[in-house]
Amino acid sequence: MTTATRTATRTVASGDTNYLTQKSHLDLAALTRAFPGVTLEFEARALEQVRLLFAHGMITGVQVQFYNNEGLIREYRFQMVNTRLEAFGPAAGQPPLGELPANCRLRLTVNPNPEVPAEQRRAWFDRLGWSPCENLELPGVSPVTYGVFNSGNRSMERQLLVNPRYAGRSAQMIPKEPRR
Amino acid sequence: MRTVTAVLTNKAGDEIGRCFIPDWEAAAAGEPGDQNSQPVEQEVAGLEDAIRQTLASEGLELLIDQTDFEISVAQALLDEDGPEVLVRLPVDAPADSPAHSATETLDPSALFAGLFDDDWPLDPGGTDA
Repeated sequence: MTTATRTATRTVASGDTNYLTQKSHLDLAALTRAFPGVTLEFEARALEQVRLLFAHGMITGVQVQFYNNEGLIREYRFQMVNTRLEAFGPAAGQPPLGELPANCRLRLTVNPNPEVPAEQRRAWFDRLGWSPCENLELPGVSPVTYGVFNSGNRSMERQLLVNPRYAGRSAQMIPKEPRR
Repeated sequence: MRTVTAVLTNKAGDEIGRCFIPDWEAAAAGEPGDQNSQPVEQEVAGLEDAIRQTLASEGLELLIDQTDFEISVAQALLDEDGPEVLVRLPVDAPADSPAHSATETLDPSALFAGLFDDDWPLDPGGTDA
């Protein structure tokens, strides 16, 4: 009997991650530009670093949070999922907007991937200049999924959470999630 | 699919050679991955192990720490230009390593030596018609 060593090629589905983070990046960039009066609490390079963090699986999601001294006003969430969902929603770079009250600030937060060892995550965040932050108090409402990007076997859910106190200021409509 | 190659550099960032990473490839944007694709962090960790093993088998030592190595791989995977994923890595290469021999073969004068005879000069004016 003879035996042979068989080596199979392994594939990194990085293209999926790239596509999804490119599309999400357009939403993120649009949100940072849409409200000139809002104070940004991060530098532009942080948006590129979000793509890098996704590319290595260091994070599972990113949030764009508009807030003021009274708390969260509106939050956009981008959540990576390891399954293919049905794509829907507005084109990339056209998230639902609306009006914001005066004196808003905008911050960027990410969700560290719990599947990655904490020490490894900490090394990455330290190297890229990210630090822990306090969670904002969230209103007792669920986010609405306003869109999904998909690529290969992965998807990025696009969600919007609006504090009911400021809901009347959301002038634009968002598409309904498709029935599954 | 895109092949994966380590672009070896010296401390100054100058390319000194390349190492092909066998048995690994990366899907292009929108290209469906394996149905049984693993979470990103597991896939990338597997690729990083393969790169390290390839470099070690060539006697090459990385000049950056683990975190910078991981960031370099992630940056390379984000770059969608060309048919290859090119991971730029500074290495300390012994004198007899493939990185050094690759540098020697990249000398253009060596590449073209003997290909052209003085009796058949190249004519940029196109007078051979």
